[in-house]
Amino acid sequence: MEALPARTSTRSQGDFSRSLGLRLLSLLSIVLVWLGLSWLLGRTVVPGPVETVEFLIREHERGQLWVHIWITLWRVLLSFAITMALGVLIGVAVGISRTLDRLLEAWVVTGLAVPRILPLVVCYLLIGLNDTAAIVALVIIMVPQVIVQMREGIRSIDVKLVEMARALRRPRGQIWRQVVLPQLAPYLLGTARGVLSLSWKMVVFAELIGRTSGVGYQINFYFQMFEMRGILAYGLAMTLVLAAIDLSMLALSERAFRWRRPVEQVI
Amino acid sequence: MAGIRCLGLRKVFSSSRGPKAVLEGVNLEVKSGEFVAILGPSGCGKTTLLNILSGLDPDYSGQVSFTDSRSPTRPTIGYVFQEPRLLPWMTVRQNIHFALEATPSPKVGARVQSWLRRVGLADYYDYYPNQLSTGMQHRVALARALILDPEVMLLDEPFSSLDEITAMSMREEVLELWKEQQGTVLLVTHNPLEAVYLADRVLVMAANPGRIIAELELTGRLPRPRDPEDRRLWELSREAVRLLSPHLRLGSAVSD
Repeated sequence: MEALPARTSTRSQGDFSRSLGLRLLSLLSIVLVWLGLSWLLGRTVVPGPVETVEFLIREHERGQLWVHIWITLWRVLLSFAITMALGVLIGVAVGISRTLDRLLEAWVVTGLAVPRILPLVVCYLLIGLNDTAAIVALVIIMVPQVIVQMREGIRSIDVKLVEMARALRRPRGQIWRQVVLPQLAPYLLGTARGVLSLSWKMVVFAELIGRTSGVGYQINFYFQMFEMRGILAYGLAMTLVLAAIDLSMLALSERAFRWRRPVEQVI
Repeated sequence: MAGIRCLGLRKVFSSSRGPKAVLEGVNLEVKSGEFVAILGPSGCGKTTLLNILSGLDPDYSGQVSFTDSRSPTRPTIGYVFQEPRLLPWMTVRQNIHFALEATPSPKVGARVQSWLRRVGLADYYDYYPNQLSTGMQHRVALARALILDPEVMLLDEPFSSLDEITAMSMREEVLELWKEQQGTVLLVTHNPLEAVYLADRVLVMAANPGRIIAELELTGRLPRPRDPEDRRLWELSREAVRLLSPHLRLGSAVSD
């Protein structure tokens, strides 16, 4: 019997504390830069974290904050879900079929190259200044990126593992679930995080130019009032909500990939 | 248990320089319960032949059939590849379980545990493949193929990536399991000593195009159990190499 190899994935309490410490340090550095900017440029130009949070609390007490955050979040999640569903389906199909890839190539390249504001303006003009137009535009803007990522994901699949599963006469469903999907998962989660981040930025932009509700609308409102605290307060609130979602996705990804050997052990 | 029969097997790959025959007129018969080794240089089409037999490659001409199978359609085939091909996101237990069902059940769980004991990995059931040595990974792959209770085992150079000490112990394990299971084994190797040590019969294969050029019957000449130190093993392995030598041409290999 060969010697027992060292187990590499079992995380000790020390690793966890170190990881938490580094993350808190990263967060603290953001607050410090913010404080520094506020000190350098003056509180009227860049209000500090305390003034911003105070403004946020006032908005909450006025009953405004959550109304706008929920509307924005709903738009973000809806456009994110439609984008991911469409992008994954088309990306996988394009990755498998060279013919489909060539047929859709012009669309994907155009979708990636077109300025992001264009679909938004065109949809507002064609469909009207409503949520449907905003969501359709956002999906058009984001889908090509998901297609590209998923196509690369499918093409990088280890075909030897699929062959192994076929040699064992495993049903197609099991092969997709247990052999193909785990290989696509890093692409899927990476793309999902990217799309979520882009989705939130684009939704705020869409609200700013064509909606009468949501965080983007509020930012525009306070921009016209020259109220920097309002702009930063809504930006901060939405950033915190999205960061919480992103961190949950990160935690999910760490759990899903716990079998991986930490790269710092080999590089 | 099942036997294997191939008649006039031909396989052509298309390349940028036109079609290339990798296998040409391969006739092969393996009796039920027999241990046969195919010995040949890299690129002579050994792996292609196993892929055809396993059903992975349906694109060939000629006849492939299985005799004396307990299944009316196709016998259960266990395929052990050159590399272990374990799913890195699954633990050792899950990798073996994978061969039998999508959702683990307690009944199968007991069988998995029993096979893990047989290959000496009972304590490693919750390890991921990257936490195991190459030899251990090969044992998991062997258990994964054997848990199917296969009528035919196809072994594609399963010991070639192992150090000689580990390979020796794995060969013993394979022989033990073959004696217990009484299955049919077709081993592909480029190691003449390994072929004559393990097999009842050695089929010598040449490349360009891949074909069987000679046969070495060992049952009468080298009774079992065999001693790895037996001088006759060396002599027989030289005999196998002599059969192959006139057909060896450097740079002739195209693809396995």
